[in-house]
Amino acid sequence: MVAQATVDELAARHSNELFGYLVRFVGNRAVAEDLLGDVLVKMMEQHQKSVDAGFAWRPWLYRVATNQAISHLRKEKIRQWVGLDGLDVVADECDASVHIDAGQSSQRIQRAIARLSPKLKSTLMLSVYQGLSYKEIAEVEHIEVGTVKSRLNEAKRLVKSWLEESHG
Amino acid sequence: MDDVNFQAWQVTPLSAQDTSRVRATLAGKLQRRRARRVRQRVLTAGVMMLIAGGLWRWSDLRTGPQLADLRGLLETSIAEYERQSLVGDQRSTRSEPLEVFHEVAILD
Repeated sequence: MVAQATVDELAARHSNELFGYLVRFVGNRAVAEDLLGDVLVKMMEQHQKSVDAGFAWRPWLYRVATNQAISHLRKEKIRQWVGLDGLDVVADECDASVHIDAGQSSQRIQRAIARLSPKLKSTLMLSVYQGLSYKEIAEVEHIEVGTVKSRLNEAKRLVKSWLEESHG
Repeated sequence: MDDVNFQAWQVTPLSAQDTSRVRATLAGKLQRRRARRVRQRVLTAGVMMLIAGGLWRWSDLRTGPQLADLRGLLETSIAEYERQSLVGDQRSTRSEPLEVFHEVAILD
């Protein structure tokens, strides 16, 4: 019962931030909800393995979420390639509710970020939108802090250049 | 570099309805994962049994009666060769035992 309460507490604490991350990653709220469910299931299973009291849940959850999102995008890409459905590129499939809060600039940023490779995209989003430190991102992605910084710079440079390109 | 207004892209948080929908799917997801894990275990056990059966059969073929028969044939041939050599019969001793040796080497 205590364990269940902790799982609920963890889910309540992290669901919204993970959802935001997943929506931005895959560009679709329904898919993000489904992926969030998968992440929570993995969290429950991990919790049953009696992890240490000081277990760093946040980086672990983001690692699982990133893997789920990348795996989903890879499957989507294969489905498009074999012509199972008529989906356009990820940048175009984003549903309206994702950018309901902002106007044209939001859509342009969204499209530019969607063009990034999964690695650059996750680093950028973990830093800019989720507010993780370089150290935490390094932990999530199993890379050095220096690599996080270079990926972040590269991602920002690319987004900026694509925005300038689309602007004029 | 930071002059891109990333914060212009905001995501509407999960509503209470969204949260309850996510929760509702959790039980089904857990059940499917458990069922998949059981299927994988059964499949792994089946494959292991097949491999073990194959190995057992293979070792049976290698060390079983077939090899013993060949060994017996070889020993008989050697004995015959020695017997014929002793009596000085040179007609069939040059090639026959060597052929037997050759066959045994291939079969083994």
